[in-house]
Amino acid sequence: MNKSKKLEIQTKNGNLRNATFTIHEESHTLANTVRYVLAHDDDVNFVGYSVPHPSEFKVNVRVQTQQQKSSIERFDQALESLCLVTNSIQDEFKNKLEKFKEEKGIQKEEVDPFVISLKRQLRKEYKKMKAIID
Amino acid sequence: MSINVGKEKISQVLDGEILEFNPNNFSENFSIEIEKLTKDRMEFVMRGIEAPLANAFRRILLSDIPTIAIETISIKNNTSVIQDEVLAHRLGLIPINVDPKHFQYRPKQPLQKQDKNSRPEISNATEENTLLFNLHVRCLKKTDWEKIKKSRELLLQKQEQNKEMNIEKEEEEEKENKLNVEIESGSESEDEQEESEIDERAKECVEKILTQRAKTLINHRVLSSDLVWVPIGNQQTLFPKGIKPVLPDILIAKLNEGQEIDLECEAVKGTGRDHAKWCPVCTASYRMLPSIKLKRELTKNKSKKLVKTCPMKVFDIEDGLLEIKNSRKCTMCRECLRGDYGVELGLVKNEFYFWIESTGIIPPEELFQQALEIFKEKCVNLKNNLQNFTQKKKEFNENEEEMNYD
Repeated sequence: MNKSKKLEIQTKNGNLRNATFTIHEESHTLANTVRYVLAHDDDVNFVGYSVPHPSEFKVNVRVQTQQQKSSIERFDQALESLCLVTNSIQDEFKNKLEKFKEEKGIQKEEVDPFVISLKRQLRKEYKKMKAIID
Repeated sequence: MSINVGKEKISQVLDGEILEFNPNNFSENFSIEIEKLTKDRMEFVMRGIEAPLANAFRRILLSDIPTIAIETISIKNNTSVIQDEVLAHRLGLIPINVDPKHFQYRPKQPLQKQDKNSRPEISNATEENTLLFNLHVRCLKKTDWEKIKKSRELLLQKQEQNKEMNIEKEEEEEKENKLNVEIESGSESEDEQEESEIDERAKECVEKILTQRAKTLINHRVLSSDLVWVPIGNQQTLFPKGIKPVLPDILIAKLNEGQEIDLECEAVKGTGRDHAKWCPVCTASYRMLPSIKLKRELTKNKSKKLVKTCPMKVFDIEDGLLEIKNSRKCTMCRECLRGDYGVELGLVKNEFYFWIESTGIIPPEELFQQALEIFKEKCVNLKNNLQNFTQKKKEFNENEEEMNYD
């Protein structure tokens, strides 16, 4: 079963229009992004998030919706759109990376720093030997 | 951002531009341009994305991507000037060149009940979640070392017949080979040093002492290359090339004659959120690109002045016309705003110039892709939890109340 609770939802009298989501093991990273997506949602009246205390690793996200819309469903939709957005970012990045590597002709060289430092040492010793001989 | 009041919409205008977010149209307006890509550093521009998303990726790069670093050390002998805890701290910060994908997190509590004989620290460590390193450095005088070398040669002659001592022989040979290189380099520098001392007696005494120390002592500097990997279980087959720190010349400690450091390290997988030693980036940062606009035409003299005042040479005169040549170089110093040049300075809210500097463990392009993957995992994880919750609620409500909608 669950080792620890991830998500708690608090509503008033089971009214799902207005809800506070308490998400454990999360921080501004996810909460601000979800808040940003929900703020552009036409069905959402109010959205905000807070970190109750910086020592505790959790966030509260408050969502209030229009008539006959469930806040849980809106929250779910926001997460869905975030997944879609990251998918498109991933594809774009992959394409551009391949193009860049082709253009610049980057060859994958395995440059070992140990080898470089050894070469430097050998060069120094060679120079010293030369100085002594000359 | 829009606030619904009844059926009327109030749109907040940000700097004259209304930036909307539509996940369906996102890929049309979004673009990435990679400016620079080296082994350690990547710089790229993201357009069509806003601060919350860009900041989320930056935060994940700093705190949620796992790496491997030394966590616990067992010190057998430390007679150096560096205290045990300082040494442990320094060892933890050394980046280890191994892909953390092959490893699992070490569980914090023991998996099974402890036997009387087993120690709790060891029962968690398996070949799948721990890397062992050994650090044994002793600083000696060269003359003493030569005596030891002779006695060891005698021992070796005796041990050649003895089969049990084969393993020790290999270790000693390796040590001898290593020390041989240092002896040779030291002896050459001796001759040169004498000549330079005669010529330039004005050199500082401290330098003298230091170079003498280098001449007469072996292993007086403990470097990260002295960390020797000890493979456990099937790790030798997984990593045939061996595991080393990213850079070989990180100075861990300095020793004087007779001082010794002998310890065993355990390296574990972790994230930057726990301790900065597990952070895979030197830093990951972004800045918004500046937007510079010229509101009106300027006279020749004024335009020449403007070109001079900008310390980053953003403006330039071409064909008698004032042009914005390098808006990317602008550092927002606002010198151009001081005179009456009619310059409008701002930030483009949806263009981010990202740079990622890796510590060398994971290449920067992979780091960014991992960050995107981790962000998606977070969203999916939360979605699954939401679905569990709605299912439970439905069951609850079917039994008791109906869901209320006003």
